[in-house]
Amino acid sequence: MPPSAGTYDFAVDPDDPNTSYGVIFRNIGDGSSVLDLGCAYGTLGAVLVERRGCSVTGVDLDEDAVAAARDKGLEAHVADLRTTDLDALLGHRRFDRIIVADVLEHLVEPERLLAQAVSLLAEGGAIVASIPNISHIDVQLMLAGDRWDYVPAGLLDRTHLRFYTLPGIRGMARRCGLRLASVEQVRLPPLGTEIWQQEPPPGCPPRMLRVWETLAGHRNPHLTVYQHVVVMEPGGEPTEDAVVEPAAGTLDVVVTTAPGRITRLRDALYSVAALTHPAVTALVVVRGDDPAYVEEVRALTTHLCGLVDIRILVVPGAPHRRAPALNAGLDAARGDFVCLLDDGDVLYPHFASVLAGELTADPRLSAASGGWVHCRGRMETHGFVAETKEVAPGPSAPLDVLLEPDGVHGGSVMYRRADLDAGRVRADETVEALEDWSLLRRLCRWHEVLSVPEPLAEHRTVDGEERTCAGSEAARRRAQAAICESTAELQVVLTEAELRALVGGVERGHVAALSDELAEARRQLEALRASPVLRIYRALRQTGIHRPVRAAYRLARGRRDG
Amino acid sequence: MDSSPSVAVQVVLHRSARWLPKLLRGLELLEYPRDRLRVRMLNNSPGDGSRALIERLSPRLLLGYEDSAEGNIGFGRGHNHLARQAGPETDLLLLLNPDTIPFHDCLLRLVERARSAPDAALVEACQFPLEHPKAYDEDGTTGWCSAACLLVRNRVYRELGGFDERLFLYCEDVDLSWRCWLAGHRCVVEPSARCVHVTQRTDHGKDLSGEILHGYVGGLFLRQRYFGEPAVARYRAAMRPAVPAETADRALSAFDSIRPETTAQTHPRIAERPDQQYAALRWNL
Repeated sequence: MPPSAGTYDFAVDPDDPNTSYGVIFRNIGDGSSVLDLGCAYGTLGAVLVERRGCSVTGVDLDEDAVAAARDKGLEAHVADLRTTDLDALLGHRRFDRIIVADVLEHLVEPERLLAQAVSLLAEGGAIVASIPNISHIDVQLMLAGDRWDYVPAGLLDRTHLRFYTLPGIRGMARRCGLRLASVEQVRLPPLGTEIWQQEPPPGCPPRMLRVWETLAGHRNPHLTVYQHVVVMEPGGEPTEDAVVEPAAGTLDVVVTTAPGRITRLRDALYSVAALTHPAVTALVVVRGDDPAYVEEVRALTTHLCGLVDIRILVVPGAPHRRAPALNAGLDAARGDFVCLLDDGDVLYPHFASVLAGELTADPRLSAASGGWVHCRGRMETHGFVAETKEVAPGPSAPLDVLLEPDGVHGGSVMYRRADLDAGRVRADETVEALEDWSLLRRLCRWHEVLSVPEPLAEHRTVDGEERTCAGSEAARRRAQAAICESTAELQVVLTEAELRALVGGVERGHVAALSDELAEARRQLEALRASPVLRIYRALRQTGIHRPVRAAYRLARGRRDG
Repeated sequence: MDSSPSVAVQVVLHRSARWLPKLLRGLELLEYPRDRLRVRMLNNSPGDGSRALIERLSPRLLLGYEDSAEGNIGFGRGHNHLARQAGPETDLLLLLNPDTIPFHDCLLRLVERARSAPDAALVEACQFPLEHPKAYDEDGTTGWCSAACLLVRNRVYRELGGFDERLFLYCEDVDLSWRCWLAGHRCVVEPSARCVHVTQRTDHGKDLSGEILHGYVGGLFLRQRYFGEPAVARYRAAMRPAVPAETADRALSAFDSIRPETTAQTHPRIAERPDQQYAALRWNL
């Protein structure tokens, strides 16, 4: 059944990097001759003419669409891409760029069209194609619920005949004598596609989302990829695709250190140098004003010159006070993302790629936390030697550890720049331990934090050695009490039934009533204030319904305060 | 004249352009007499941009680069080719993976260990940040050495004929190590020499299918060569549920074409399952 008129008449914002049109637009140079196969209403072509000075020729099966494209001033032809001899139709012309935007998946023989397109390329030309990714988690969740429901447009467009993942695209290109010169991705978060914006299919409990993300995410880096946008060039030796990371963003790693820890700092900095994420800067914050140690740090950085950009800050004062150093580093950070690292701890090479990917994919997240490995060991002159390793947190309840003071590992969290600017990411300078927990807990009050179970960092402790001068058990207890007190206004515990009532309110659209429901819940449960408030968040995570509830909770709080 | 042994660093590239900037910089930063250090690279995937990248970066190294004339000839054969170019006058070979960054003092420490342990033919650096999951004694003696960052005594390498070229990828380092042991040499790890290695586990989204396939072929090869048919049968039984049938079939077919003779020699350091942890990681056992 053909799509109804207007189905593919999309608005085009060429400046939006997270749309296929935005990516395609970026891959077409000024003044190019462009052939748009499946041009629909010519919307993209018109933008290319206006903004890039391109000459654009379109071909589409839909007569109304072609008429609309012509109205926009394009040369457009009505033709069936499955059967038409394009070379003859287009008068044997050749093109710098051939756009095949969300077309191949509609064809019985997509490779036939690609092969034709190759013959229409000018010297140095390339094909730019956007193709839906069938391994998006929303599709997987639908299958998990024993459903496969087509929709008017999108991943499961009812006229799709072919379904692709990136390896499938690569294979198709190869068979047509093409190599992938670049691969970029348009991402949508879980439940963010048109599939789940409709009625969720029955048989797929919401909690399955997290389970599925965990299981499938281990082997599929494209769970949140909505479309792959590939630039394909003819010929050449088989090569690795030049995968372009999606809007990677710059990262600052704040590494705090103190005198006597140069070997530990060396390991931390090499781990930063090894990050596969592009554009990383290490901000080394030296606690205390020991000139000899600062000189040692400078000498160390010469060994890493060119491997990673390093800036050194010196924060005078007691070397054991970490919070002022953390905050000085945060103040100096300029990256899109920021993370904190103690000297001696190390990041795994994919730390930043995974967490920046999560933050990029879901703009609602303020921070993302990776799993981590706790290494106990000894220090030798050449460095740390691990004796035991323990993976934490467990994949079944990652936030248990993240949000409890004894388990937090601030070095496995990545924060968003915007939250720094808004002053939401600050360590509590009144405490002498658990500084990074104070920071995380403050942020968690009203903001989304994602926890990735996969270990992405190593937290290293040397038996018999305190991590800081004040890192005693007594200091930790004092700090924990102070931090809990400073966030006491949030101490609410909801039962599961209340939670469900709350969710029901959200789902029914009774948002206005929520403030009353919340107030009642708070009154009823005031007696339970001893329990950490953040258990709410954990409970919500476990049910997989945290987002709407959290939004309502914020709204309710805003009304109460307002 | 400098008494430091001459070292030939050799790297076999395969779709490695993304790793080259940091590897080359790491090599530039190596502390070692420049006139005793030479770097050679063989690219098993010509046309992937590596040559142009190296030309653009112009590293301050005595560096030779070569495109493989026969395309991807495999890891072991590539290293053998580079070792032949180093010639008998080279004292030591430093085998490096493209996805590594040696610490600045890594080579110095490896060479120092080679000097102090003349019976050690292979001296392996400690991988960082994830240490290679295998056991070694307090003095560093180990059953086998990974070739990701490995100092090799060139004389021994030549005596043994280098890597067995029947192995395309994976397990050729285990095989070389075991042939070292059988020939009366020792394999050691030097924990103070460190080298970043971005392993498959720490490379986001890495396609592991090649590792699984070639790992199985190598696993079969090692068992046939050192333990005979019963060990091959045990391994086949173990791998049957662990991999897709198609992968297992391909592995068995590849193995049939390279099936080695079983050696009569044994050595206490040669074990059918050398390290449970490593075997679990590499071979899903």
